[in-house]
Amino acid sequence: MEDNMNITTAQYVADIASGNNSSIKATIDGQEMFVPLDPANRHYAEILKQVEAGTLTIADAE
Amino acid sequence: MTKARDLADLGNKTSLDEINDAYDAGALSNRNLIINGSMAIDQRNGGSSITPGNGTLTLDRWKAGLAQTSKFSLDQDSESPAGFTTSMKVTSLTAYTPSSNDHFFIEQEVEGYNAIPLALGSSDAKDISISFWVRSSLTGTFAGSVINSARNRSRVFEYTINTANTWEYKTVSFAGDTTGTWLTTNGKGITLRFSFGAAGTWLQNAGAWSTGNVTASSGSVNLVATNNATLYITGVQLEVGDTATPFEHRSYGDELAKCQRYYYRDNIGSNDHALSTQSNWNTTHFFGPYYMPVTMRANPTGSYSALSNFTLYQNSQTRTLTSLSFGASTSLNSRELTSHVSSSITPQGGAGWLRGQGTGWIALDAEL
Repeated sequence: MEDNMNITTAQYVADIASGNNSSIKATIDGQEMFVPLDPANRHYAEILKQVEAGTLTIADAE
Repeated sequence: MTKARDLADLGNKTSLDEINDAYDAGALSNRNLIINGSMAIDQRNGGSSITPGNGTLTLDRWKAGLAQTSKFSLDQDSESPAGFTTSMKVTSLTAYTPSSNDHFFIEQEVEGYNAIPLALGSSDAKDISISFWVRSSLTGTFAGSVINSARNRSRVFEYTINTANTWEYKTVSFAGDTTGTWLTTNGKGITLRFSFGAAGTWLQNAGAWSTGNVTASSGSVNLVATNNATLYITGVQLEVGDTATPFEHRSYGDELAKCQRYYYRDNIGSNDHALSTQSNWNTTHFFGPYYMPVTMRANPTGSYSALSNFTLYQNSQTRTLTSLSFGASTSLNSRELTSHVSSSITPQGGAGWLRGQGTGWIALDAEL
């Protein structure tokens, strides 16, 4: 079964110490979530899938 | 030899080798690969009814699948057979006849690590037995299926409900799949699914492994086709062997811990409590760890209720948060919480603690 996650926003969050992207702040099914950059994480896997499909863009970190 | 026979004969075994053989066959404990088969744990909804979307996690470890919304609801219910106190109740919200490629089901995705004993995808694949208690307002032949991670190997099974609104115990056993790819990692090992309605490519004759992602057999009962029809299910077990054994009851604490590997929800409730000891990196950012109670399957997604449910206590003052986030540091055991405050706090390195209040919650999600 393919999950139908409704991802409306996605933005990288940079580590305040290193400045490197550390996670993604996303709104998924109406809930703000902080998604780690782990391919085994189902939310991150879905974000990558939607980016690949061209239906989602991850904004740069602030 | 079946596990039921192993169990019965255990008292007659005279050699250590015989006892070890019985133990290695999984006869004594950890037989059930299904987590929360007794439907006792409902961290997300606390027993409240939901009308799920496709992929919605419901009672712990159980996921809804559907092609059309608002055709059924799910809740944890006290209706249960002897020896249980909870079940999952499925209620049809419509009289909808599945067509095209419709599908409606609940499923549990068993982590690959836990499916290793099944030896699926090899010539040594073991027999699989599935057992459960079920009660429905409808009678007839119902169906479910088991599927691999790639959704290209599956097998439909059938069970018959003979009497309406009566608890019945069902068992199904069949040979494991000797082909296909079945993960034995922290990915999806084997998925167990119970159908409430299906059509088109989701249908397959029962009794044989097939390619594809199937859910039910042609002619099996479509629960969603009868408005207000109900189905209760509990005591779900999937185990190695050609004979189903009695449901393996685990302690509530053990079952909850198993669920928390995939999802953990910290409900603040009426007792406010400290969540994280923190230290300020600069004048407006405080960092600290948030520890999960068990090692999670993967680095988890973090979320929380409302910002107003959290306050930073620091230097004899309460500091209002301007934002709260899960920071860079993450592992299977902890995530970093970052509290942002508007007031300039010095000196840097000062300590504080983050407290949760009222109806707030923090959730960590590492579901499959």
